[in-house]
Order: sequence, then C-alpha cells, then structure tokens
Amino acid sequence: MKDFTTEPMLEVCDVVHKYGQVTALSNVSLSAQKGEFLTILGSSGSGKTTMLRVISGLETPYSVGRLRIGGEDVVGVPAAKRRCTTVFQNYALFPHMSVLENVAYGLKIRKLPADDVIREARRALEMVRLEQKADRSIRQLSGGERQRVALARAVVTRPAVLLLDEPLGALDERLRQDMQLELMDLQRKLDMTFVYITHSQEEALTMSDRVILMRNGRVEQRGEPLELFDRPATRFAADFMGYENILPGRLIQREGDRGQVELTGGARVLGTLAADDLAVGDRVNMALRAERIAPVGPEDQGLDGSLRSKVYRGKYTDMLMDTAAGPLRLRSWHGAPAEHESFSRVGWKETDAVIFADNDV
Amino acid sequence: MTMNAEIGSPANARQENRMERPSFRLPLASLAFWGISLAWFIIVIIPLIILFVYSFFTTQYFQTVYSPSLETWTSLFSSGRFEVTLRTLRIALTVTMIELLVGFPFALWLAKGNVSKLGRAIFLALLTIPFFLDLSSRTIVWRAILGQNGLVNTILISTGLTEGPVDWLLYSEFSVHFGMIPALFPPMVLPIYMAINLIDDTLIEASSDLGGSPAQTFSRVILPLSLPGVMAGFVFTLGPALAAWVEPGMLGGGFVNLLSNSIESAYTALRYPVVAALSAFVIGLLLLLLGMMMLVLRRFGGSGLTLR
Repeated sequence: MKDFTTEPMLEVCDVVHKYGQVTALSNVSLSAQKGEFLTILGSSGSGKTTMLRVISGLETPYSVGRLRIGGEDVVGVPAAKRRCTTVFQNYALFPHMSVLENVAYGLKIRKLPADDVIREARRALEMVRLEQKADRSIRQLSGGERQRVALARAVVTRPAVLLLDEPLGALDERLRQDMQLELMDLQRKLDMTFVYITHSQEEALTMSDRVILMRNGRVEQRGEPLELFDRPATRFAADFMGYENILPGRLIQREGDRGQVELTGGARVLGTLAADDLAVGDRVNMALRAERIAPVGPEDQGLDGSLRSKVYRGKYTDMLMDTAAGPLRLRSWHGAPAEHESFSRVGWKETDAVIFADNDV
Repeated sequence: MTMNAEIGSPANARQENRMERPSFRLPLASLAFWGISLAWFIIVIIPLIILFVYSFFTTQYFQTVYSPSLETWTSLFSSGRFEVTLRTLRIALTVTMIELLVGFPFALWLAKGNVSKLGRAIFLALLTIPFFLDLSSRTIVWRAILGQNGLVNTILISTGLTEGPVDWLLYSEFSVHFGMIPALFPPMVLPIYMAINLIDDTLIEASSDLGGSPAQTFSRVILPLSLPGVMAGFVFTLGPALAAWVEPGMLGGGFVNLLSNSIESAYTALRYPVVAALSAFVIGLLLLLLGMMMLVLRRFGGSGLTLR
C-alpha cells in the first residue's frame, strides 16, 4: 500500500446538490492524496457522476463547504480554470480534429509555443502507444484507441487531479481488463491523483487504493478495496459487492470480532463482525459468497438442507439449496465432488461470513 | 436463383435467404436511387437545359426565331443591366450577411442556450409561420406601415420627432432590404439551428474542461462543427435573395430594379430568349458565389483547426 503523507490534492466537504426537487448529493465529503487512485463506486442514480461534475466544475453545486483542488480553493471557479481534467464516458473527442489535434487541444488553448505543443502532444500519444496514429481522424480509431486518445488529451496538461467517468464502460471484456492494467500503470508513472467512477465492483477492487461506495447521493461505505470486498457494513454494500447470500438472524454471542448468529430456523453459525458496535441480541444479517460455501461433514458448523437445482455453467456449477434459513446459493469451481455427489450439509470458514447490523431500509 | 432456392427444401431456402439478403437489398436501394435521380433529371435538369438552349435564340416581332445565335448574350448587358446585376448582388449579399449575423447567434441561443423545451417549441413554430402565408400578402402590409401616410410616419410626426414624413422608408433600397430580411430569416436560422443542435453537449463541456474559455470553445468547437449548417443556410438564403421578385416589386416601387424585375419585364415583352439568358445568368451567379463561399470556408476551417 502506498503511503500518503503529503497534503491532499483533492478535498471536498459537504457537497449538497439538487436537480429541482430531487436531491442528487446530500452532504458528501471526500479527499484524495497525491498519487492516489480513488474510486467512487455506485449504481446509476447514486450521484457518483454528479459528484464528478461538481469536482470538475461542469456542475455548480447547490452548496459546498469546501472544494480544493491541488491546494487551491475552487469554489465558484469555472471548469476551465480548475487544475483537473475529465475523461468522459463517451470520450467526447472532437470529431473535426485529428488525433494529434485532439491531444494538443488543452495546450493550444493555453497558447503555448507551437513547437512545444506538438512535442508535448506527441509525447502524450507515445505514452498511450498511439504515436503512429497521430494524423488519423477520430473516426478511424477503434473504441480502445479512442479511449487512449481521451486519456492522453486529459493528462497532457498535467492536471492535479484526473477525473475518469466510467471510461471503460463501452469497451468489451478483454479490452477492459487490458485497459485496467494500462490505467494503473499510467497512474503510477504519472504519480497523478485519479478519481475513477465505476459501477463495477471488480474494477474498483483491482485498480483502486481507496473506494467510496455511494448510494442515493450519500456515502454508504468507504475504505480500502479489500475492506469493502470482505467486510461490507450494510446490506446494500454486501449486495453491491456481490454477496449472493444475505441471511437474516440475531447475534447471540460475540468474542472479539467473531460472532455467533442464530439464523431464521434456529441454526447457529459463526462469522466475522463487520463493525464493533454490534451487541448480543441485535438483529443482524450474515452475508456469504456463493463460492465460499462448500459441503462439510455432519460435525462441522454449517447449515443442513437439500439441493434444489444445479446448473452447470462451464467454468463453474451454480447450485441452489433449500435450508431452514432460506434458499442458499452455492458455486463450485471444480467438477467433483459438488457436481456429481449429493450432499445435505454445507459450511464455510468463519472469516468468510460477514455479520452486520440489520438496519437497512 | 432466389426463387429456385425457395421452392427447394425449407432449410436450404432459409440458408439461401440469409445469404442473399445483403445483395437483395442493395438492388432495391440502388433502384430507388436511380429512380429518384431520373425523376429529378426529368423534372429539374431538363427544363434548365431547355432554358439554357433558349438563350441562344432571338426574338423578332414578338416571335422567337429558332436559329442559334449569340445575340441575346452579347446584348444582355447593354441598357444598364450591368448596374442591375451589381445592385442585385449587393442587395442579396447584404441581406444574406445580415441574416447570418442575426441568425447565427439566435440559432446558437435556441440550440444551446438556457431555453426551456416549451420555449424552444414556440420559437421553432414561430419560425415556420412565415411559410403559412403567401409572400406577397405578407409584403404588401409593409406599404401601410412604411408609407408616407403610414403607421411609422404618423407616429413620428404626431410625436414631433420629425416635421414631415420620412420618405426613404418606402420605395427605397431600405424598404427592399427590410422586406427581404424577415422573409429569409427562417431559411438561414433553421439549418444552422439543426447543425448546432447536433453538436454533442459533452464536446462543449470537454472544451471548457480542458481549459477553453467560452470564446475559444465557440471558435474552435462550435463554429467549425456548425459550418455545414452555415453553408446550407447560405444557400437557402442567397438563392431566394438573388431571385427576389416580390419585395423589390412591392417595396421598391420601380426605383429598385433587380435582375428578377428585368426577367419579369422581358417575360411580359415575350422576349423568352432574354428571360432564359437572364435566368441562366442568375443561376451561374449563384453557383459562382457558392463556390467562392465553399473555398473561403475550407480555407478558414482548415487554418483555424490544424496545427500547421
């Protein structure tokens, strides 16, 4: 993990934004250090794009406590004067300019000498490995290439913060994975602060130093990617991070960060507490990933049930099991024994089961 | 070939169909293309050719003499037609430039300004209203407003702003310009509005995000991307302005003769070859102006955008 001891490159405090009567952001705060890769994760309508537009200056917030980019107060400063640039979701490349002209745009606007403009723009294109296509028209580029041009255009002016609005959303799976690596590589090389917006928990997990999960214009949970992935603190977070099973129950015993839950139906199982403030007797939820559940012997902790369905999906097998605590989804990544044998009891490691308060609406 | 396949086994037919589809659609499209081209040729191009051919005939005693000669063309610019041509050009270009100067900002505001959906719909409807009413009925109303005893002069005199009636308001070049401007405003605004409307808002946002001031965003992004609309607006405005006939006739009062008035008088005198030659000349003039405009735009567009 990187060490962020310098002053924050981006500081946003208490942003409130409304579209008419609809509140898009309510008191959202965030900050990012120099060289940090911060991801804002959320589904559509969570306010993540609005947040990005507030930072870039393309949207004027209803109210904001503090907004600083690169140490400068930018409240009321127009987008053009802020030291941050955006990689737009649809790339927003200028169709009437060549690749090189697109990349050079920000430099030309700043009235730099023509030689410097071309040299800097070519260097940026080299960085994204497109120097051969400098004179092409935008229309002649593939989606991934357009993506890289947009990236080069945004970083060529050396902004303090680079904002990326779901930049990989329009690319196919393979390309997306390649671009993820390329983006991380580029970010490390430039040592630039990236604020990355996505709805994909997988992207957030692989790329970021820190993740902010947003929901309905509020921050639902924030932390390092693994924290969010392994210790979701709410039902929404667990659901969003891809936990297939969320079982309701009651906390009946706790010891350190380990707890025992009595699930609906009476089965008592072990798990790990996501938060410290849970007390014995609280209503809780237990989240379990389908692939972390496996058949166990009769003495091990777990749940009894009967297999209802089994779907072979090539790489893995999805199973649905009826238990006293409700239906349970299982995923097996290896053929045997789950695929051919029948079993009546499943279990999990207690570190794989997350327990959090059942206070969600 | 396709018929045979369809009669054959169903599976075979389906396969054939799928493979044939692209090449089957193409003939239809090209059929339509050639059909429309042929119709266009018959309806528009052939009359133009006949017109052009007519200009090489002459008239004697109100009869057209069908023997080829250059007489009509050589005598075309005698009897002060050169001044008429210059005046026509000057007025048509002035009107077009005024339309462009007023129409472009209006179109920009309508397409990208802070206009509500309802407001935009109302303005677009207002722009189409002139097409509902005959041009001469719209134009003749101005006589009552601009005349010596008209509305404007009555107000001016009764408020004591002027002592006598202002006489250049009607039957002058002013009134001809004035009459043409509202008539030719929609054909200039609508194509520009369409072109600007097509510009993706994120391009404008991207420009200011990259540091572009509103003026830079306008000159480097909005203007170049709206040029096709400007070009179309130019064509739709300059053409009718060169051929304007109602406004100079009704508001010029015989003092402002344009080429169209020459065509009309030649027509009434049954001198069809002159009509043909003058019409061909106006078309040539229009093509020449558009060609120049195209060159200017390409130059301007090119130098404004490239790094070189």
